[in-house]
Amino acid sequence: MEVLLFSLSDEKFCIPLTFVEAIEHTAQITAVPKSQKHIAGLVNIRGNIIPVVDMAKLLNLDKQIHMNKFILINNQKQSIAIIADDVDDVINIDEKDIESIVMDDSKFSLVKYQNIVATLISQYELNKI
Amino acid sequence: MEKNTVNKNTNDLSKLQLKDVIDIDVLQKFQDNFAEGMDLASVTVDINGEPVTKPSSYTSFCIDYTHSTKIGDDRCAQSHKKGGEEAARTGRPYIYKCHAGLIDFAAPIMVEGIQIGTILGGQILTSKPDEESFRRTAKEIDVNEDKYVEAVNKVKISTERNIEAAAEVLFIVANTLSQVGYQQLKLKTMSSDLVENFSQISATMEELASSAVTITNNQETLNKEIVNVKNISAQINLILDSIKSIADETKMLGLNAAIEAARAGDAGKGFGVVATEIRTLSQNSKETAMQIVKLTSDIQESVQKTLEISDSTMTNTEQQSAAIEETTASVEELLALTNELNALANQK
Repeated sequence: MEVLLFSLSDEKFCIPLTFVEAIEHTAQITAVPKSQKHIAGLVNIRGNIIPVVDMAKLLNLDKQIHMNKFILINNQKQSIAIIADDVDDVINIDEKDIESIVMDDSKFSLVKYQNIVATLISQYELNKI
Repeated sequence: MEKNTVNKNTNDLSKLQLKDVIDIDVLQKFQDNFAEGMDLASVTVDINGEPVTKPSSYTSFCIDYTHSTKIGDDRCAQSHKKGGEEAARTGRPYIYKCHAGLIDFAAPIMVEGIQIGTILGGQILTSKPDEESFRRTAKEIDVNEDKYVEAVNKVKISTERNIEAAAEVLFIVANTLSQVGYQQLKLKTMSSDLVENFSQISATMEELASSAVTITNNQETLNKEIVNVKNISAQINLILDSIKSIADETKMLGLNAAIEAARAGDAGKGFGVVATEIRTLSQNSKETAMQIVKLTSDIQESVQKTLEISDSTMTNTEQQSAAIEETTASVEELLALTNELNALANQK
């Protein structure tokens, strides 16, 4: 499976390429009042209005992110942009590299690649948006 | 050059001349007055027997007769020479009978134990002249006998004591004059050496001062160049920033290409390879750029150090300049003093 490896602060994440549309430079975000905490606002990318999701807030990561790139993803329902500090690489991983962890009532998947451990953002997390 | 001759003469006493240590005019005056006062003849000669003063109160007997013929003149020279030699040997006034029968004396003039001249004098008798012997002499030297005898009878008769005293006076005065003259000569030499030395020091100081100015100018040029290097380094860094951002763009392009390749499925496999190559290329570019950044940072550091050293050199040069100024002032004072000394030494 091919995944896109990216960073939020010093945390590594990966998302299957099947969900990824493109990588874009950041643009001006228009805030939406009374929206959920993890919705940072709306952005205009090539004529399309797309909601921006702050993954850090969604995953309850208490980290400061720098917002260097947008990753355009499509979860079958709609296109959304997620904020990333850095987009690292496209890597190929085996199923056996994925580990599932359950903590409290949350389910995590971790991917081991070389000496990197990244949280896998799968359909499950995307459904939460 | 007079200065060099003075140096040579004082260093080599054998080359010292009477006229170097005694003012001949003063000596002449003294000689004339003394001769008249004591009523005896006197003349001063150098070590070769050549007269340095005009003869004082010579008798008619000597000038008009004895010296008038070649034989007579040669005999006189011989007689004087012998008298001088004997006086030199003893270092004391020597009283003797000249070839013609008159009483003469020779007083040596000595400086530092070396004879530089002789005062000759006398031409008197201690007793009435023996006519016979004078007639004999007249025949030998080929002068008129009668006139010769007439002349000798005009010669003054004095005592031995008188002659001794007169010789002694001449001896003391001449030697004192020459001693003082010699000291003054040495002083002249030393002070003119001093003047020359200080002039050289002054010249060297000027050279030093001007070279200090050159150093300062070079420093300023150096500083300008260092600032130049800093500016160029800053420009290089700007360019590197551009390169880095291009590398970032390229990487993003590569990633987007990979994404498109994935979406294209099998058809996109070849393109996926190209995308990977692009990403590798951008990574290499970035790494190279980072290396250059490190190098320019090293250059900046090195240049900064150079700047610090050059600043410290500037400080040293300024201190040096101040020291040179102080020294120059001191040397000028010394030079003024030495010139005064030189003027004193050359006074008559």
